[in-house]
Amino acid sequence: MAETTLQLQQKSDEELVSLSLIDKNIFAYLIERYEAKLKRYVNRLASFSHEEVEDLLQEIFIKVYKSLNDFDQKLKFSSWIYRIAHNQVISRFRYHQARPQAVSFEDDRAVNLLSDAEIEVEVDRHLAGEELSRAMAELKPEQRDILILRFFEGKSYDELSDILKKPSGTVASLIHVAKKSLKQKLEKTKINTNTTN
Amino acid sequence: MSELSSKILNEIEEKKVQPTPHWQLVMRTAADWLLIIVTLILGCWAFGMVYFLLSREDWGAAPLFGGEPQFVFMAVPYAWLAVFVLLSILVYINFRHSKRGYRYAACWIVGGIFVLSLAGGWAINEFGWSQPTHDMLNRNLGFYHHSFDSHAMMWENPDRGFLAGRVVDIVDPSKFDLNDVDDRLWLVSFGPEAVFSPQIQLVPGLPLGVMGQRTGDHLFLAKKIRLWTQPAPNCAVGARNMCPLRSN
Repeated sequence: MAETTLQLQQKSDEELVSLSLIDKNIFAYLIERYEAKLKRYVNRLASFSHEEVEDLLQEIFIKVYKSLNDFDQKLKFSSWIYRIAHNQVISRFRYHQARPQAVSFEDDRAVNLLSDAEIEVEVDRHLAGEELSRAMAELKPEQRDILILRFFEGKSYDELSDILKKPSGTVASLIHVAKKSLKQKLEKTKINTNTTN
Repeated sequence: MSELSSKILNEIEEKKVQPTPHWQLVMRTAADWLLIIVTLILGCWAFGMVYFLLSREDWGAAPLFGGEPQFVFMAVPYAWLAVFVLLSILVYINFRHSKRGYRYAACWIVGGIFVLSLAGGWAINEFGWSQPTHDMLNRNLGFYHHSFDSHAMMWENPDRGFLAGRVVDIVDPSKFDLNDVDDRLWLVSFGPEAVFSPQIQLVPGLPLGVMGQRTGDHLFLAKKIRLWTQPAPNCAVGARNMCPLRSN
């Protein structure tokens, strides 16, 4: 008996991968599960146009489909799909030889990043978000990328290791250096004000 | 179904996109690992050659070259070391790009490659595979002798005052003919101040290392004469190969 939509929606990522290899239409469930997350991730990396984002997402999911047999069941599927997304975006940057433009980081996670980097924050988060956007745009791409994955996508160190294909120790060092760099850039633009509770 | 998922499924259908077959991925992984293993074995071999060339050095000749530090500096087979380093870098890069290789810190990978190369190189040398490799390369690669054989490079340098070869004929009590490792005939002369180390009887066939001064075309004035007492294991026959006699 064919599984119902509800049953398929309740299946794990890994189960959907196995089923997609048998019936490609089931791949739609994986797409729908990750479409919004990857769209947000791609938009955080650079201010692509709507069409570019759609194109990129299409490329990413086609690449995922082609690579389904290569999915290592010992990895989390989300780490694996983020790895493919990350690599596709980097390829797109290299192809266009463009440096990503500033994007907006005006949400609660911006405050998390700022406090984690021991940067005093404005009560006015809008202001903090604007300054953060400018500072993030000035970071090296790999530094910006790792901060976005850690603080905005909420990835753990192990997940970052699997996404970026680097040892955990290196990931920790990269985050430390990126936060330090961000702090220096923010201090240059004089964001420091007193925090009021 | 969302608009994006419809678009993607349509593209998969129209362009007949297929997941890469499992067997292809297995073959690719196998090829990657074969490359890693072969490169590692070649690296062990290169390290074995370094070990081989250093172990056949006549360390007693160090004073002739200005002392041990200078001798060590000259004796190290840099070309083989460079080959070993290059192969090790290839192993590192290929391992790093393997499915799980990225999880290991660089120091562990480098340490592992070094330890395996050390062990592998020692084993290759112990099994006696270094000498045949050395002889084969000597016979077949014209540049090997003057680029890789550090021992030969040290001693085959008449312009810098070093000559090595086998005594062919005793001309008179202060002169003898020497056939060097490149098959060139030299007339070597020596005065009463010449040092023989150890004291030896000059006879045809004796392998010698001579330090002194080139005085002309195929003419050499010896200041120190030394018996080559380091027998090479599985010594092959050939004009280029110095197979010293065992000292009694």
